[in-house]
Amino acid sequence: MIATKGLTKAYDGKVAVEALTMEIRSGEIFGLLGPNGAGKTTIVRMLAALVAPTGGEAVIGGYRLGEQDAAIRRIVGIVTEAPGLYERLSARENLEVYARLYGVTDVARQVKKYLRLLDLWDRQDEPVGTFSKGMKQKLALARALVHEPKVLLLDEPTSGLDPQMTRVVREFIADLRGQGRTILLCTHNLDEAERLCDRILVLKTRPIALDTPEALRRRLFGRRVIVTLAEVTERILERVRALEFVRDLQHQGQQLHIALADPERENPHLVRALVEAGAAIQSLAEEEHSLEEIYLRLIEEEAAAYQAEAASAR
Amino acid sequence: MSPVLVILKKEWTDLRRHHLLMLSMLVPALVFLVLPFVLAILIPLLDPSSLNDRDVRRMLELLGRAEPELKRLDPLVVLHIYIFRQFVLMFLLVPILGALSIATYSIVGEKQNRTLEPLLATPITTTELLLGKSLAAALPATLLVWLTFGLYVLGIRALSPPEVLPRVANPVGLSLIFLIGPLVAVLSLGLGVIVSSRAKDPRTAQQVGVVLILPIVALFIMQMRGFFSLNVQWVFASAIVLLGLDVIVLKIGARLFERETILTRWA
Repeated sequence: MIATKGLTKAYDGKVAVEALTMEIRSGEIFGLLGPNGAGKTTIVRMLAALVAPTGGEAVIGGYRLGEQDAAIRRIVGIVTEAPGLYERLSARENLEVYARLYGVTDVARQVKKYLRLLDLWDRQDEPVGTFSKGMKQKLALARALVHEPKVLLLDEPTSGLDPQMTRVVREFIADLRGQGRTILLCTHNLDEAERLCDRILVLKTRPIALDTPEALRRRLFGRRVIVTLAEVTERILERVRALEFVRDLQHQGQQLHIALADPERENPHLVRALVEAGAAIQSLAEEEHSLEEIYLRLIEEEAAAYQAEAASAR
Repeated sequence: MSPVLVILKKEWTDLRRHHLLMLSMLVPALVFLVLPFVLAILIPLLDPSSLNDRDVRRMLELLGRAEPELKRLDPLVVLHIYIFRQFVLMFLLVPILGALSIATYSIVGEKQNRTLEPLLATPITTTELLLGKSLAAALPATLLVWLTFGLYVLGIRALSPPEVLPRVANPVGLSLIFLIGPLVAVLSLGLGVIVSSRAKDPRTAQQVGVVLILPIVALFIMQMRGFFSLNVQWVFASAIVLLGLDVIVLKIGARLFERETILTRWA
C-alpha cells in the first residue's frame, strides 16, 4: 500500500529524513519509533502529500508522490498530534466541513456513522471548544475517517490523553485493523507500539531497524531461558555447559540464564539434564525484553555507529 | 459543494460565533454612522452659535468657493453637506478594518489553533483555500460598508433638509462606497494574508492596517482643511491605482500561500 525508496527530506540543507526505504502492506499497522526530531512527523507529512520530498520516491495506494498528490490526499486520512479542530464549530459541523472537502457524497450518513462510532453523537451540536482533550482526539479520528481512507496516518494519537481515554483510542485503532486499512502510527509510547503494531521502524533521521517487534527482539537479544534452582552447584553448571545446544550460560545467585537457539525444542533436554545433575528446579521461564529495551539498544547502537562514522570521516 | 464554498461557509459560521471579532467590525461602522449626525444635527441644536464659529465659517466659505451653487443655500444645509460628505470618506475605514480583521484572524487563527495541517491534507488546492478565505473576508467587509452607507442615506433623508442627500449620495460619494470600498477591502485582505505569514497572533498582523488607515485619515484631514476636494476624476484615478495594488498584493499573497511554506515556515 505504501512503498518508499530512498525517500529524503532536507530543510534548508538540514536533513530531516534520510534515504527511507520501506514497504507497508495493505491492512498492516506499522509503527514509526524514534526520538524527538527523528523525522517521524516529516515522514507523515510527506506521505500525506503535505511537504515534497527532496529525494527518493514514494507510491501510496498506487499513486506516485509528487505527481498524483491530489489523488493521494483523497485516500489518506491524517490525525495530527494536536487535534486541530474548529473550536467554535460543533462536532457535527467540523466533520461536515471535512466530509465536503473530501468530496463525500452522503455527508449526513458518514458524519452520523463516525459520531456514533466514536461515542460523540449525544454531543454533536455542542461547540468543540467545550470538549475534553480525549473527546477532541476522538473527533480528530472521526475527521480522519469520514471519507473512508485506505491509509490512515496517526501522529501521536494518544499524546496527552489520560489512561482511560488512551485505552479507548487504542482499542479503536486496533479495531480499524480489521477493516483492512493501512495504518502508519507514530508514537513515543512503546507499550502502545508493542500492542498495536505488526511491524515497526526505528529511525533517527535515517532508518535504523525495520521488522516485527519479536524479530527485533530475537535479533538483538537472542532467546534465553531463566531457570531458578533451589541451589546451584558446580556439577549442575558443568552439566549445562556440556550440552551442545547451550550457546551461553550466565549464573546469578539461584538463577541460570541460558541462551538457546530454539527453547521449544531444547527446553525438555535442558530440564532432563538439570534433573539428572541433581538440580531442584523451582521455575523456568523465557527471558522477556520489552520494546523499550529493544528501542534503547537500537538508538544506542546508532549513536555509536554515528560517532564511529564521524571519527573515520575526520 | 465546491471547496471554495465549503471554506466560505465554514468561515462565516465561525465568524458569526466570534463575538469579539464581530464587535471589532461593527463598532467602527457604528461610530462612523452616528458621529456625523451628532456633529451635524445635535451640536447646532444644542449650541446655535456654533455656526458662527470661525473654523466652521471658513469651511463653509471653502465649500462655497468650490461649488458656488451652495452659496444660495442656508448655512445649516451647507454644514450638513460638508459634514456628511467628509464622513463618506471615513466609511472606507470600515472595509479596511473588517477585511483585515477577518483575514488575519482566519489565517493566524488557524496557525494558533493548529487547524491548518488537517485542512491542507484534504484535496483542496491552495488557490481554492486562499479564494475561500479571501471571499470570506472581503464580502462581509464590503457588505458592511454598503449596509452602513444605506443606513447613512436613510438617516440623512430622515434627519436632514432635502437639499443634503443628493449632494452627499452624489457620483463621488457613490463611487467611493461602491467602487473604492471593495478595492480597499481586497487590498486590506491581501496585506492581511502577507503579514499573516509572519505574524504569530492576529493583533500583531492587524497592525499593518495602519499602512492603509493613514492615507485615508490624511485625505480626510486634507479635505477638511480645504487643501483639496475629492472629485470623480480623483476617485477613478485612485481606483486604477488601487486595482494595480490589489493585483500585486494578491499575487504576493498567493505565492506565499503554498502548502509546504504554510506548514513549515508559517507555523
